[in-house]
Amino acid sequence: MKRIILHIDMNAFFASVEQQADPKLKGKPVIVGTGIGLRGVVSTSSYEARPYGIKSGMPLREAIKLCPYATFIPVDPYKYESVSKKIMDIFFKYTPLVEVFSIDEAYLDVTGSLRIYGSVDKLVTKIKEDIKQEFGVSCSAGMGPNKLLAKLASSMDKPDGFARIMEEDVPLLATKLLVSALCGIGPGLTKSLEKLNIITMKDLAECNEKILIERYGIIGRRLHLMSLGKDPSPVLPYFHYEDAKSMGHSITFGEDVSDFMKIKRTLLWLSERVGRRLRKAKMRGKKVTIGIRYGDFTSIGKGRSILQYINDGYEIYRSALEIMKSFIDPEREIRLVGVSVSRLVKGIYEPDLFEDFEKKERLLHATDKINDRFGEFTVKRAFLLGKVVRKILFNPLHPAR
Amino acid sequence: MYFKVDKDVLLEKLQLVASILPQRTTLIVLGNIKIIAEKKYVCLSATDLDISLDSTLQTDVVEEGSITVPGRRFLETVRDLPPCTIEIKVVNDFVELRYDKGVYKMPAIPTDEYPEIPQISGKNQFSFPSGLLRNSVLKTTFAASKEPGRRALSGIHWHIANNEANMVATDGRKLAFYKCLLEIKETIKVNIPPKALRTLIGYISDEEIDIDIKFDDTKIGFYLKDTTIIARLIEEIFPDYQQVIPKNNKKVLKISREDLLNVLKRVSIYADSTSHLVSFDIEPETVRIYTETELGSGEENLPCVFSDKSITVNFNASYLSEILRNLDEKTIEFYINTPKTAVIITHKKKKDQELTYLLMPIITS
Repeated sequence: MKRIILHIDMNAFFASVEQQADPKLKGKPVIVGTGIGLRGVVSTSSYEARPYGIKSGMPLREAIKLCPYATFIPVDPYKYESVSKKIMDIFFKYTPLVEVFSIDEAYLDVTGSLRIYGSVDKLVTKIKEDIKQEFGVSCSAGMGPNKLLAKLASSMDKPDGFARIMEEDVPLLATKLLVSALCGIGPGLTKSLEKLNIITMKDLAECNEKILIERYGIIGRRLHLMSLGKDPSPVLPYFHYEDAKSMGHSITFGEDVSDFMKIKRTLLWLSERVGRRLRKAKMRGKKVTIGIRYGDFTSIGKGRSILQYINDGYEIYRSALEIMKSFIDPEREIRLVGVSVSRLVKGIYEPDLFEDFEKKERLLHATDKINDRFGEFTVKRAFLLGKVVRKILFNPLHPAR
Repeated sequence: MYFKVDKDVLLEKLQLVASILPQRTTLIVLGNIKIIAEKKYVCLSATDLDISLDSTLQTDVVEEGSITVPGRRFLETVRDLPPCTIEIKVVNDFVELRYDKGVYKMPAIPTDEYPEIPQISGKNQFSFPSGLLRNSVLKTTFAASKEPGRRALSGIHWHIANNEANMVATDGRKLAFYKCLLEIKETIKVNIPPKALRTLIGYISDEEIDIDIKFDDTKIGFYLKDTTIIARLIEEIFPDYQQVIPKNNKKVLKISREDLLNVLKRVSIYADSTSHLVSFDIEPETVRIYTETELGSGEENLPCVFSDKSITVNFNASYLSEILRNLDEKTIEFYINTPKTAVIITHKKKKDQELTYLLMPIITS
């Protein structure tokens, strides 16, 4: 049986949520930015700001020049996450097969739902109405026989539209469509394909599958299928997601930093946050990795396995610090530092013979409880006293917090 | 320097000395073996700055002298020669290795660029029977920590006092404890790098000899007939192991060692590849050993004798198997208190030696 897949993409999601939260902003240019001050970048802009040339990823410094009267708002991840969750719940009313693809988009397999709702048009209209009514957010929908074409379709009629691409549309579409428009083909792959004279989807379809496989391995096979508008991957409901493979946090400093004490303190702050996340997910890990970006944008990352499974921020910090000391160049200023823990296991612990692990568990549990109730870092290590705890940026790759 | 030597005699010594050469080094000269030819003797030595070894052989020295040569290249060349007499000679800046069908030349470095091999002064000295020493090393070194961050646990801890020698190694998860009787007046507490002990037992043959041991505050030396191994002691203090050996583990599980090892081998195929978690449901007469992951599940029952009603304990199958392989009696005993506290694993005491392992269970929530 042919599948019917929808891809639903919220329009200017962060900006729409902000406009909904503050009605004064409705109909006005709104720019939501990440980072600190003018060093940040545009995360999303409302449709009113777009005629001024505002694009995602643009430095805020540039955005202010282009659209000085826009309202600039820092990202508020908790707000968006909470709205996103509620919107996803709406999708679940229409089908159990919902794959949350990012904070503002999802795939819905509605093959089985059509008997109830009659036609796709009726179904899509209802979903859009529900979202608009409850959250004031508009969305673009795309329909296709698979995820690839559904996603492509949703990008064709923005904002607030509904487009469909069927298999029979593919040959005509392929002549016009650049490969970079296909979900899964990023700038690197686009460049690499360009070297093979593959610019459009049609070029890709005409390229021998063997050549693609030889060059790109398993991805080559997928590229070939994509060129024919095929994508056998199922819509995976969120509860089928694998557990996280790693958990981490990073921060870009407001100004490049050379003060090692400040770097150490930031490392502890990040490690404590990673520890909190691990404990909330009831996970522990036995590999600590740290990443550093110097002021000149050169980056370096290094990881080390440890014997014990850890979820205590201070232990993560101790390992991270040791790794950092082994390669950091003290002469250079640092722009970004990140800590992550991988090789995760859930719900198990191998205590050390020489530690009183029950005491430690009790202590962590008590501090977690206080911080749950009164806010992050209400109880913290003295080394972190005086540190201004910045708002946490939302990371769509790690929605579980 | 010029001497002649039988290939097999040289090879035996070279293999021993080369085992000390560091795998990677920033000091090129540490990759070399030092050769000193004096009177009727040739002494070969190597060091990685933590452990040094020298070994002497008797042969025909034509001209006295000393030099250092690239160690591994020297060993590989000698190893693949047919049985013959080799002539070794320093010519200009090269060491020449000649036999009846050919000649090999290696660049040499003068001995004054080679680090000094330490000596141990002082009177702290005792002797140790080789059999007991070998046993202690074989049964404990595997448990020592390999983590770079835990240097204190990277060594084998020797605690000798009151005519009793205790040898302990641990990585924090498992602990190996070997005890034997030894007539010594001195009290000794040292932390020895495992590589030194492994090299030592690799060299001593099966015959029972007494090994002379000398030590001072920073080094320990093992003196054999023609070979000396000197190791720098690990400075970091070994934790109080006696404190973690439980005294209240009253629940006793008796089980066949070999059967358990075989079951673990099979069941752990299905265990999580990171945690190696395998569960034991222990009942008075049977123990159910099982695991379940996305790889599938495995379960087997084994007969046993358990002194209590029932208990479930989780182990890291890989650690447990390592311990079982090091015990050697048919039946082994687990002394358990709770699923969250260290378990003692041991076999029947022998006359003059005792072997105990501790393993921390895995706790699930």
